[in-house]
Amino acid sequence: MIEDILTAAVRAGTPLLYATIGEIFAERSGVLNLGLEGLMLVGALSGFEVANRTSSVWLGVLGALIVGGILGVFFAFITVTLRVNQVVAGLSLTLLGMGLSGFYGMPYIGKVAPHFQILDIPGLTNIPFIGHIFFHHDVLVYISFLLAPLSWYFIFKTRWGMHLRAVGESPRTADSSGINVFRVRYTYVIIGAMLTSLAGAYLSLAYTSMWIENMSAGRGWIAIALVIFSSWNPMRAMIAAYLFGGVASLQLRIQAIGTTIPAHLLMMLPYALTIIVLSLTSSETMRKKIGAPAALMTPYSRDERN
Amino acid sequence: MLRLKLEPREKSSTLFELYVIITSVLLAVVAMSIVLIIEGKDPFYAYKMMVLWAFTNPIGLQGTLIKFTPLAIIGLGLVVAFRMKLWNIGGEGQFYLGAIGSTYIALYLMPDAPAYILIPVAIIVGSLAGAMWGAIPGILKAFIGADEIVVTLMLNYIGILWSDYLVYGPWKNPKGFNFPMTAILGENAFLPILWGNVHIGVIFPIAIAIVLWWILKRSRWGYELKVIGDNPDVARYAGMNVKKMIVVVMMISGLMGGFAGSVQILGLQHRLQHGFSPGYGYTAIIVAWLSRLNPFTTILVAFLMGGLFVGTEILQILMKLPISATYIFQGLLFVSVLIGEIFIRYRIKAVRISAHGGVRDDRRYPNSSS
Amino acid sequence: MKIVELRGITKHFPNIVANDRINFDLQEGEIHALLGENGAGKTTLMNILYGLYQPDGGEIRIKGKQVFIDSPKKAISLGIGMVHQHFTLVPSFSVLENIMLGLPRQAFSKPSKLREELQKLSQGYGLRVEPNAKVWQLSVGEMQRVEIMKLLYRDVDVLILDEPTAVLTPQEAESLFKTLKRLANTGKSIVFISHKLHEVMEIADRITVLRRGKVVNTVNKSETNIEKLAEMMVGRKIVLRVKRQRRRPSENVVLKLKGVRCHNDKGLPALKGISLEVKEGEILGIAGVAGNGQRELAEVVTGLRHTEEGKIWLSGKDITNRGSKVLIDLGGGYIPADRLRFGVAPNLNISENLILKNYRKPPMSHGISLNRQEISSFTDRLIKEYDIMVSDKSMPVKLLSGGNLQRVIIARELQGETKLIVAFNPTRGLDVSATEFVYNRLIESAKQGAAILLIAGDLEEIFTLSDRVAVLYEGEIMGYVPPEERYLREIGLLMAGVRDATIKT
Repeated sequence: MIEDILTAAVRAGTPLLYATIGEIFAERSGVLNLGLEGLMLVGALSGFEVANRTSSVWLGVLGALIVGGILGVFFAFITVTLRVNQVVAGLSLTLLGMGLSGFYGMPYIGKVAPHFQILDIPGLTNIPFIGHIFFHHDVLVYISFLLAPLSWYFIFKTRWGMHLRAVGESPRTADSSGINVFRVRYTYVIIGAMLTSLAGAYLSLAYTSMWIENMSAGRGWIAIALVIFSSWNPMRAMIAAYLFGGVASLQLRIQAIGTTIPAHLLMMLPYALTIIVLSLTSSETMRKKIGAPAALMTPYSRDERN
Repeated sequence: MLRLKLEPREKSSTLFELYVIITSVLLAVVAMSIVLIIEGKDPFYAYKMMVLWAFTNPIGLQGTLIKFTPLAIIGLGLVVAFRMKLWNIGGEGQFYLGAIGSTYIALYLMPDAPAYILIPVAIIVGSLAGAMWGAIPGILKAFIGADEIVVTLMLNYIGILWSDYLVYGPWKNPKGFNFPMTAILGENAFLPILWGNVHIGVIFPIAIAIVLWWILKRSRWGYELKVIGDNPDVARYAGMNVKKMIVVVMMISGLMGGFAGSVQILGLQHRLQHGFSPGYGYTAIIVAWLSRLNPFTTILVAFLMGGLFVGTEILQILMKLPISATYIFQGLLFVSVLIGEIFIRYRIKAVRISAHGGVRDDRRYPNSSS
Repeated sequence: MKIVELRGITKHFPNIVANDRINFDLQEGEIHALLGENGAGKTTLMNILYGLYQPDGGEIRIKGKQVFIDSPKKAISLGIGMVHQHFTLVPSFSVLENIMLGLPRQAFSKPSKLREELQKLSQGYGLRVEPNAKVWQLSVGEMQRVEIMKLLYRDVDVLILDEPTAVLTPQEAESLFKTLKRLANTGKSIVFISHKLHEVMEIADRITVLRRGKVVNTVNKSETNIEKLAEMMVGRKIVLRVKRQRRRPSENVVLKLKGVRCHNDKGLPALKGISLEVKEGEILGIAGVAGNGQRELAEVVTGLRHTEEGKIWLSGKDITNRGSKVLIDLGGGYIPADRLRFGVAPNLNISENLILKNYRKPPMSHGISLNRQEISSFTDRLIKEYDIMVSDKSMPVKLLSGGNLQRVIIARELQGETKLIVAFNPTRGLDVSATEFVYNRLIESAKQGAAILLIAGDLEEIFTLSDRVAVLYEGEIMGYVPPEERYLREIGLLMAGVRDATIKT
């Protein structure tokens, strides 16, 4: 029983993980993208649509990545080059995503598309308990297992990661060091958008195998909270994502069992926890220790005399 | 060699700003028309039907006014918060809290009280519930520096879940065929009707807007809000209590959200049920932003937005146009106005780089960063 | 050989021509000083050379070849490096990481090799740095060293230093000069931006003077002296020394501090037991190199920073930790060093900024509303009295020039019955006429009985205005010095932490 819940936690947490890591990249470069919900929906639809037409899940994934990338370029343009208010820009991206996906998704309601099958890994899947929880999933989940540590390594141990952190913390310094702040921000905003779009494709091609309007159901917003919950650290994001995924799947099962703890109150836990974590990590010294991107949401311009 | 760059504009007249905003809106309309045409739908027919239905047809106009009310009230609350750069994304949660509070009074605490006592109490309690929901992020921001965007977002979910818990659980109507809703409130909890099914709540936003405008423009408190929103450091020097202000402003913003929720329950819904809000709290953010944080414009924009939603409903029937089209339009509108704002704040200059003495140099600049 | 040649460089900003057809060249192995007042265009010119700004006209030649420098990266690849006034370091990174930032790939594979090379460079040039220390923990002088090491590691031929001694003690400055001379001897070329005449005469081989965006002249050191340079810089003989009659101040103590201790933003002790008194009509100057507790001193007195121990009295009333409102109510004023950040609400207009302190009481408000009529006439009166040049009263104040902005702040802080003024670097970034205005107003206020606590890094300023001078070093008052030029050496020593028990007033 617990095994089932934990397995479901990993499955449910995977789209959150992709989106959270994507947003970690964007925020570490100093850009807040509140449009994750819209990106996820657009990714879900494009993935589904392409897979449906080409009968190939991988082309579907590619489609989602491309569409996510295009929206990412657009978002980067208005926030980095035009320097509009990032909160509002993110909200409009969400709206556009919701609208475009709902509108163009109508013909696909009820259709089928190929989906990712569960792949057992010889040797690993047979490990009692853990084998089922971690190694009884589809390929995209396995990729996410690699994505998190690789992202962590990238951000903290490589030269590009150093550039990324420098841009998010002190853009003027990065600029003076010869780092192209605009290019860095564009890159990671686009990567973030692509990963979030991929999260959406996961929803329609692996988690379920259908397209429903608004199928992201708020996961995009949760990812934004998870970024803070995980202190902009991809490894912690894994823990956070599975935690939230776990609670969501727990809720379904509890309703089936019918325990005394009301499902709805239980579901409040992750949100309340996020608030608590946020409160604990907001002090100035904590932020320095964590290395929170100090320049988050502040547009950069070389020419403006500040 | 020509290069484009953004140069800050010194100042711009209100006329110019108006011109830019109108152009932005028109551009969004044009973009939307293109989307419609590609789908084989006639945009002019769509616009005509929408406007006629939402603003001239009695049933449609009622719908517009009904949708206008919560959008305007929540929107005005957001205007206050946004002016101090407090990004209250929690309008939805505060809306639900107001609904919960009022339902509690009307159904459980004093269901038999006469209307002239019950209604004010219910509204006050609902508003206070919303204020509490705003106080939490306010206090966390003021004293710990916790980011209000995430806290209000989380509280949205908690607020909605709380409401769901109640309507699926202890408050579920035993005679309601197991639907997630409470029993209907007694008639003593109904707001008086003005016309059709438009209740008196429709007047409240206008009154609030006037009061708000005066407070923001003429009062000492409004001045303090302005200074703190611009530069909290200098405000602190001047002896302004920045922390207190943050909490108070968030509470006011939440109070409005709660007030809107109460009014919605007492005036329209007459019961608490699952999903009774089609995202008013979020749409109100758009309203507040599009009206550029001006109380009177908020009224206008909220009214138009209400009309937009109602108009879309009729198009769903007439042209099979789905609600997602409205979201596309809103998104386009938003982006358009955002970009328009940049034109207001900056001037785009084409700069020619050439050597002194008139020798034109056509060497290409490698990929520059601005 | 001419390493760098700038011809006809022009640069516009909104409302101002920062550089106007400037010609400038740099010889190999020379130390070339770029001299001018604040706002003359020195930093702008060098920012163009460093690729941070693009010129609107003119050309740049490096070693004879015309180049287009569109970014600092390009500048560095051409062998040009710049150390700014505001350091460009990432606070949470270590020294090593900061030096590594932006280096090509190869450097990253062997951090230990990098450390070795740093050691060698550091010994070769005499610049001590600790590779593993986190930058946010370093002292200002140490940070500057890291900045220079960054550039040396990248093999620059040209080093541009922007007002490097602004944050150093006289002794640290000496050490820097030695280093620069050593670098020049090994063939590096140095541009030294400054507005300090003494320094420039000491270190430079050639001096180019800028005034209001134009080149006045370029001279060899041997052909000039301080008076000539000063005249070039301002276009007239400096009468900066405003006539100050040193009268005997009254015996009433207005501001008194006893045993005041407080911490800085990093949680380290900043003030370690400060006791001082300022009398009615007296100007007490606090001299010292930036970073020794000046900011914290200004902030505890104005109630913007928590006092851990000790007490502060204003006109006999205990104001310790009671906040700035109490100070304002008792007639205190504050002219902050960072104008835009602590002095004004930048996007609000001039009226809204002028009423910042008195908006709560009549006549500016009655009841809960503001009295617009009163506010308007108040504004007009102050604009006239303080000579504030503003074309449109509804314009956000951030668009005002530095001098005008300071007039707004001074108008607000000095008008009415001021008992105490805390002036922290009040003339930073101002040109000569604005500076004179500030001096005159402060002296006027003192004449009318205000006590003034003047905290400034510019010794000339301190000497010009003060009745007494105290030296602040590492959070303690080292001693008092009469504001006379013959005590310059004593002040330098006090500023560097050497207590001299014999000089006290």
